Amino acid sequence: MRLKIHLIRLALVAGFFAAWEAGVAGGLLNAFFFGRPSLIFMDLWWITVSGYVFQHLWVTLQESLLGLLLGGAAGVGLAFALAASPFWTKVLDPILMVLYGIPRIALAPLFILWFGLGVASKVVFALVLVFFLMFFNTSAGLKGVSAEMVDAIRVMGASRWQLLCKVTLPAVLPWMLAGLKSGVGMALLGAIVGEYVGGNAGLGWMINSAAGLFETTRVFSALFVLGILVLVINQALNYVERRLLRWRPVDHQIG
Amino acid sequence: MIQALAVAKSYAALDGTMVQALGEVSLQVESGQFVSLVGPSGCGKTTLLKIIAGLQKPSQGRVLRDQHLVNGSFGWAGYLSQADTLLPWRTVLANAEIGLEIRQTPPAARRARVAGLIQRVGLSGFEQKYPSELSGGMKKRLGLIRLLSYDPEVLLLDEPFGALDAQTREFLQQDLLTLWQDFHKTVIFVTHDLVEAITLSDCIVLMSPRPGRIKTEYRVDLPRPRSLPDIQFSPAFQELHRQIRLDLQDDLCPGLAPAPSCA
Ligand SMILES: Nc1ncnc2c1ncn2[C@@H]1O[C@H](COP(=O)(O)OP(=O)(O)OP(=O)(O)O)[C@@H](O)[C@H]1O
Ligand SMILES: [Mg+2]
Repeated sequence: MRLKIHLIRLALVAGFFAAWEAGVAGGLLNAFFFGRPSLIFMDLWWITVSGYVFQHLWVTLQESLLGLLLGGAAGVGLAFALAASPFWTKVLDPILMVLYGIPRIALAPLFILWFGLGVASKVVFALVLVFFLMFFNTSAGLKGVSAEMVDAIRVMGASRWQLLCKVTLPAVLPWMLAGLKSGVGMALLGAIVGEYVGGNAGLGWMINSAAGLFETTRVFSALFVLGILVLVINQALNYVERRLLRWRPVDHQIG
Repeated sequence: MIQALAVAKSYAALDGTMVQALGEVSLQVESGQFVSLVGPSGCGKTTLLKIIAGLQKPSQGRVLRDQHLVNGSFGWAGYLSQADTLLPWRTVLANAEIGLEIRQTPPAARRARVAGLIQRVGLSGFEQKYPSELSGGMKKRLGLIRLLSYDPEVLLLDEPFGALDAQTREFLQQDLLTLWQDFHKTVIFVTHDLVEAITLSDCIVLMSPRPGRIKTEYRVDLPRPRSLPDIQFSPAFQELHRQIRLDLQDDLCPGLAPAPSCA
């Protein structure tokens, strides 16, 4: 069954590239605009052995992982803090909604202005994107924690701290992990857009500068590397999730 | 001894009006006594139990445990709610141990204490399973020993066998009977089921429809130790059953006579 899934998946991807290649070879697609898989793979090979791609990959990875961790921690922290204080929830709720509603992509130039062309501005941008995602996910999870479950343990004499560690945190963990998984995409988006808008390294910068020179092949190479990156991070998170959420009935686990 | 003194509770309904959930109720439960609360759905049994547990503040009245206010002190009772409150991320073993974990009992002592209980209720071999892998009856058993493990004085059980088939129910009732006879806890037990109430209790408190008040208290003088199903066919059982049934139907003209007290 697993093997079958893997094989079909592989066949789909291979078929897609084959059709693309055939389309270019047959003159249906113009390689100048659409690239050509064989050329892209050659380019990938070249940027890998020369080490060119790694220096940019490392920059983007740093930016997005730092943004993911910091933004995630801030979102989770605020969600827990507000869950403990209905007063501050009321005070901050409309403010958070407005901040969330602002198209944050539009803030990228400001961040570049404030934090410079280097890694810091991208980290902050990724952080802001991830923050809201984690905040809303964790808040939703916290609202869903069964009061009856907490009460049952409270009656046993558990302290607030014990309730937090033994009931609330494990109950919200699946929500936080789900947030983290979608946060990966957000963090990468933040880093890439940041590099687009103003930067001097990273995969986003690589794409942007290649596109400026009409090097379609290089653009696709960079996208390919990004795809691999997402795949690897997601697999790692899936692994963590499977370890931490072993208690969930099997039909919850996909992939 | 648990005393509820003139306890009443109103809730603010969603439209802002106050809804009285529990009328004025006074109840006294002696140490080691098994008392059942019986009454129509919505009469405030769960509300009363939560007030006794200290999980909700009464709008009026107070609750005493051995003459002291229970005001926000926990750890003396075990509360089994109507809903399933096992922690789904903990194994059977870890669920059973949580009360002791909260008391910071060393792991070896925890394990030793819980192992016996797990065996007693037939969960041996399931120690490393998760609650989602258990049957309904097994979950209830685990819920019970989760309370017994840390040895609270009082058990507050809210329809623990509510959603089970008749046979599983009977097994669990027998389990509870023998567990109670061995551990001699004070038990306040909420149920809809008269047969269950009579089988298990020393005293049955019958409540009137919402806002619930205590209608009648019945003493159950059946000999102990009791065993199922024998006890349910004794004439004394049948007579008591008939009496309470009539009393329940009689809700349209309540309070014919002042109720006798069990205490
Ligand atoms: N949190 C709440 N807010 C508002 N009303 C409530 C709340 N909890 C209970 N009530 C009301 O109080 C009344 C008593 O509820 P309670 O749960 O104590 O009844 P019960 O006797 O346990 O019923 P059942 O046998 O169905 O479990 C009900 O009419 C219910 O609508
Ligand atoms: Mg109830």
